[in-house]
Amino acid sequence: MIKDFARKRSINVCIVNTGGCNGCDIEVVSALAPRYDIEQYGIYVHNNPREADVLVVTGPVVLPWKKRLKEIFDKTPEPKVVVAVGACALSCGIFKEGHVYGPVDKIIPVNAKLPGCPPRPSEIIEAVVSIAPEALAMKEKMLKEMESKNKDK
Amino acid sequence: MSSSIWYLYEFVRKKWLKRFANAKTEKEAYVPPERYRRIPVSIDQPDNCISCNGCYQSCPSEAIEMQYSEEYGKNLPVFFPGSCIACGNCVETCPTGVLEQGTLRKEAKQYIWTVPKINNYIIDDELCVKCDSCRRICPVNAITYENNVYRIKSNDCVGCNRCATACPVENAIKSYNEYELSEKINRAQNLKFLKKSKKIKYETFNNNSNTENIEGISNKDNTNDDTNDNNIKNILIVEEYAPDSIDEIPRIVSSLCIKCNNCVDVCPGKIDLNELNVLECVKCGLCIEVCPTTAIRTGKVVKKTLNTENCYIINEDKCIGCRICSKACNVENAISISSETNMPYINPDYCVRCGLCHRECPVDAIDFPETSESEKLNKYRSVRGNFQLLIEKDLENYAKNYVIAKDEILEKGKNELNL
Repeated sequence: MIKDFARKRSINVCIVNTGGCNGCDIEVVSALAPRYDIEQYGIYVHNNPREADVLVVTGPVVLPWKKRLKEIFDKTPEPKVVVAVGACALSCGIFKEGHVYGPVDKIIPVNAKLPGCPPRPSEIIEAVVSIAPEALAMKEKMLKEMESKNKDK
Repeated sequence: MSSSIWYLYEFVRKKWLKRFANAKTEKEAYVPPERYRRIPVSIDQPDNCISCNGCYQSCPSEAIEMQYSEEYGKNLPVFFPGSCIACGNCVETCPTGVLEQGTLRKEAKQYIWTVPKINNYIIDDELCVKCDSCRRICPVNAITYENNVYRIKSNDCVGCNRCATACPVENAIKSYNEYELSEKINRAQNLKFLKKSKKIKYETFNNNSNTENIEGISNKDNTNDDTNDNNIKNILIVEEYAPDSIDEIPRIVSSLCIKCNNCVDVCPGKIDLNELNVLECVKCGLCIEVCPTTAIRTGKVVKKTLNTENCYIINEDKCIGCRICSKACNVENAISISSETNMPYINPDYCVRCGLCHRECPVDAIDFPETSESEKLNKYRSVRGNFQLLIEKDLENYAKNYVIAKDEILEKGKNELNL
C-alpha cells in the first residue's frame, strides 16, 4: 500500500546495460549528478528490477544477456515501461557485425526509443519524464480492466 | 548588521523565491552546446546531391542507405535515426556540402581528414592508357595528372566508383576493401608464422645433378654458393599447401603498391619496398598470392577493352593525314599507318575505345560505328596496305636485280670488246 502511494508520485528506474560501451551509462550517471539531478523530478534509480517501473536499457543485447534480459523484464512488476537508450539499443549501432543477438526490441517490447550515440542526459530525462507517467497510468488502467473482467468471469 | 540586511535582501529577491519554490534545473542546462550534433543527419538541398555514395561508404554504423527518389530522379541517402551515432563522417565526406548536422560543416571546413570508405580505388599505371576519362568524370576532382601519371588522391576520393565505370580498360582502376585487405594480411601472417616456425621447406635442385632436399631455412645458407649459379632453382614447399611457382622474377608496380609489407613478411628472399625492387628471389610466388592489390606481377599485361560493341575507325574521306591520332594514342599497335594511302587506321583487336584519338582529331574524322564494321574496314585497309608493301618490296627487288644485271651486262660487254 505504501508502495502504491509512493508510485503515484514518483518513478523508479532500473538501469540495465546489456553489453554496450558504457558511453550511454555515463550519460545516465551524469543525469543523476547535480547538474541534471534526476531526483528533482521524482525519479529514483534502483538496481533491483523488482522495485522498478521503468527499465532503461542501454547497449546491444549480447549473447549472454539474451536470457537475462528476459528474466529481468519478467521480474519487473506490472505496470512497466521499457526505454531503449542509444543507437546500440535501437539497432546495435557499431556492433552490428559483432557477436550480438540484436537490438532490444527483438527480445522485449520497447515503449520508447531514444537515438544518439550517446544521447544527451537532458534528452534521457525528457524521455523518461514525458513518457513514463502516462504510459504507466495507461497500463495500470488496462491491467485493472483485465482484472475486473477476469473477476466477472 | 549589514550582512544580515544583505541576507534579507537576498532572500526577498523574486528570483530566489522563484527558485526556492520551484526547485528545477535551470533552462540553460537544456540548451544544446555549440558542438552538439543533431541526430540524424539532414539533407540540406537534395537537388545538389550527385549520388556519389560517399556518405554511404563512410558510415561506420550502416545508418545510411541509398534509395531511389522519384521526386528528384536519382539516388538519395536515407538515414536511420536509430543507427546514427552522430560521428559526422558523412558530413565530412560529402563533396557537395549537401548534408548537414548541427554546426559540424562549419567546423569541418578547416581540417583535412582521410575519409573513411568501404572501397579504395587505385590506378594501375601499366594498364592505364592516359585517356583522361577518369579525371573528367570524377565529381570531386580527386584524380590528378602529374609527370605523365594519373593518380587518385585517397584523401579526396569518396569511393563513388565512377572512374572505374568510365575507364575503358579492364581492371585499370582497381578497388580493394577492408575485408579483402584483412584477409590477405591474415594469410600473410599465417605464412610468416610458418616461416618463423620453420615449417616451410626448400627443395633445391640442380639441372646437372640429381634432386637434393634441404630442410629448413637455416640450412639455406649452405646452398648460397650454389644459388649463384644460374642452373639452380629454389622451390618452396609449404606443408598444408603448395603455391604455384613462377617462371621469372616478379616486378612491383609503383602506382599499385600500398606498402602493406605483406610480401616482405612472406618472402624467403629479400624485397626492398622503398626502392620497389625484388632483390633476392626464389620464384616461389608467395608474394603474388598475398598482395592485396596485385602490385606484384610477372609477364606482360594485356590491355583489354570493356566495350566490345563499338570501335573507333578513321573516316578516310575526311582524314587529312596529320597523324595526330597515332601520336596521341597510348596503346601499342592500336593505330598503324597504311602504306597505300599514308593515312592511319585503327585495329579493333588492340584499340581500348578510350576515345582519345576522337577528341584529338582536328577535323572530326574519327567515327564510332559497330565493331564488326570497323573490323571489316580494318581488314580491308590492312590487306591493301600489305599488298602495297608486297608490290613495293617486289619492285624494289626487281629494280635492284635490274641494276645489278645492267651493271653485269655492261661489265661483260666491256670485257668482250676489250675496251
